[in-house]
Amino acid sequence: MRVIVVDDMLLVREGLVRLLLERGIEVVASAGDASNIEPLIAQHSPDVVILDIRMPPTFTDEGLVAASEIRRQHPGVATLVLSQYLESSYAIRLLREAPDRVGYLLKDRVMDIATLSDALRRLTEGETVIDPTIVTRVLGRRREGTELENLTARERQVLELLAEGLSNQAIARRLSVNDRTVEAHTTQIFQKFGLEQSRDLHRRVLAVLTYLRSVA
Amino acid sequence: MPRGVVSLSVSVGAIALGVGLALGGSAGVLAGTGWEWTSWLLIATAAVFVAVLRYSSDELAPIALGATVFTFLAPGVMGAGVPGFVAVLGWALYALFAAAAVSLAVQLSGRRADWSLAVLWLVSIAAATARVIWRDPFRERRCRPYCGQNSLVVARHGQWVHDVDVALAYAAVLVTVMAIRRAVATSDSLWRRTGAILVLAAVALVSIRGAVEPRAQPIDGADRIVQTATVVLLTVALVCAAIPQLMAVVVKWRVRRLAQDLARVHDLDAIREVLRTSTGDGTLQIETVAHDGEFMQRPLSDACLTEVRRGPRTIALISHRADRRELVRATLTPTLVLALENEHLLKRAQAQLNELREARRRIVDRGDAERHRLERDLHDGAQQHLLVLGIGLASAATSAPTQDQEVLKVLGIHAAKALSELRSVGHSAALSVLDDVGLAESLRSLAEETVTPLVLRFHAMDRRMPGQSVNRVVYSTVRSVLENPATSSAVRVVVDVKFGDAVNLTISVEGATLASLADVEDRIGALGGSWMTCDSVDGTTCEARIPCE
Repeated sequence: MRVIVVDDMLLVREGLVRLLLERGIEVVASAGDASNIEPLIAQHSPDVVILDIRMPPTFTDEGLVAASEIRRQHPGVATLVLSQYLESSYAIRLLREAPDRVGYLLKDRVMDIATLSDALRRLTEGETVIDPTIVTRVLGRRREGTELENLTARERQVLELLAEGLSNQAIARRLSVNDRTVEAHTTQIFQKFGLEQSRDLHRRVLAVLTYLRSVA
Repeated sequence: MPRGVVSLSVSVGAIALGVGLALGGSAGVLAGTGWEWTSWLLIATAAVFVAVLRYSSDELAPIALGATVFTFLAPGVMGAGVPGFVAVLGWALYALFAAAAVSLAVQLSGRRADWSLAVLWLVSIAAATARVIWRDPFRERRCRPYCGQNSLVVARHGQWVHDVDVALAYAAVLVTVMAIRRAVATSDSLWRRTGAILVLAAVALVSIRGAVEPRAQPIDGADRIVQTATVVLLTVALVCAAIPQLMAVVVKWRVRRLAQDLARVHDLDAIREVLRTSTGDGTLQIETVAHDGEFMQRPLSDACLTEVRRGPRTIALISHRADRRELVRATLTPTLVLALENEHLLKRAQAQLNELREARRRIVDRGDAERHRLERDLHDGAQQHLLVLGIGLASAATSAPTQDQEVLKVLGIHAAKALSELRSVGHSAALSVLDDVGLAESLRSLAEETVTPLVLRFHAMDRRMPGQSVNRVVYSTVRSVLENPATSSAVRVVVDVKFGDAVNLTISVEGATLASLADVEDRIGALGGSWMTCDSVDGTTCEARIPCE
């Protein structure tokens, strides 16, 4: 797997590069900001670009902007945005602005190399990745009198994995059930929410997250 | 007796007498008949007028006026063939007031602005003295009708004396005109200057009459021209005096109406309009003063400023045409001054309120900036170092011997926990995400963090969204309510946000009573908003209204 790392903090960038190399992931290039990412992608044709969300010059949302730009220009290159913020609205914005194969992970995940490499693998396989902590937060909100209360425990489990961006097959593997069962559960969930189920994994995640965030 | 009543009644009396004298006197002049009774009347009128003027004012002006009157009157009276004791009385009065006039003239000539007035009096005194010498009334007590013939001077130079006499009469007319002009320009009381004009004019007439009568039997053409001119002057003077008098009545009527209006509405524009109409000065500007030493821009180069004072404080400044100073002063009745003081106090209070609000806003802004800095320092400093530490531990764990791996993993978990705790500190303090993602999204994220169920409702999402500072206050308010210790036991919290000219925020905490939220009140107050809480058995309802700039 070929990866480009973009982070303005030198120590973090170097540490991340070393960690990935140790894990056998090929880091083809690294940069301190996203302004010169285009020629790097053209030159190295990576599988994934890892971006910090807050970078020069404004230190606000450069990572998000660069991610959607890369996804548009190079549909074959997946992007993974790392953020210090537990901010689901950033994740939703990324899902909305960038076509599939994008990921939003908390920056802490770089310390957990297993999760990081798993996310990179999923992205190269065409899945979408949303940090489990964010999904837990969105789902964990207490609501009364909403459809969320009518879900069974199993449906809730499926919903959680679905929101993290897993495909039906991946959910089935994770829960040790067969694909047909997961499919039945997802259909049930979407029916209860009154949402139309999309074949597209990316749109499915976006729809579920948007619904969960907006429902009072 | 109150001075105002004395002054008013005497002024009215003086005007009435003056009018009567003018009409009667001019009729007498034109008919060429008897002058003795008018002379008597003039002496009595002038004495009363001067005496009362003296007691109705503390200033020296009335003495000067009296002196001027007698400067003209005495030679006229003494030359007109009155009984001896009257002439002596006239002499005595003349000497008295001439002395006063000279002293005043000397005093005034020290002040540059009034030197012309002093010269005027000195000229008239000189003229009168010269005429007394020529007339020589004490030579023959009953010198009727040709008093001058018994004088040594007159006997020798008859024609010459007559010519000088007529010339002096003209000079007297000229001086009278100048005195009238002067009286109109300098006096600060409409009543007093009206009286002054009338008396001066009447005295001039008598003086001229006294000068020309002895030789003119009957009155010749030249004398008649002088007399007619005097009558015309008198009429003009009367009209001139009457116009400001009428204006004053109109002004008073307008001010009374303004007083009624002011009871209903407080408006500086209304006061300015009244002042403009009553003074006939369309360029008039009025400004209340909030602080001492405040100045206004003069709109015109020839405008002058009138200060309205109450006690030691200047409450307003009026800029007007230089020649309207008296009319402006006449309009400034106690009612109007009170209305202006009201405006002044309002402006002063508003200015102080604005200063306080500014100060409060600065304190809140400084607090925000500090939080922002703290968050950035955490993000760029401690959090990054922890991250590097965590990466290092993770890297070390992969290559370390098996017995050390467990320790490294535990250390890694601690690093991750520290990072997560730092993030929550930084995030709760910082508003950078709010500025980035907007109010609605930030409030939704807030709902994800809180244990208490939070219902968010956004109404009338206007195209015009509130600015950053308003967003921050709304966000902080909701956050403070959610973090209030009492809120954790609430059943749920309902937040209504209505956007418009102002953000109307309603927070209902159901099933719990909130403790005091002083910091929230400060933040909202800093933006000029209002904050109200209402406790009931169902819980606490908070209402905030924050105006959008």
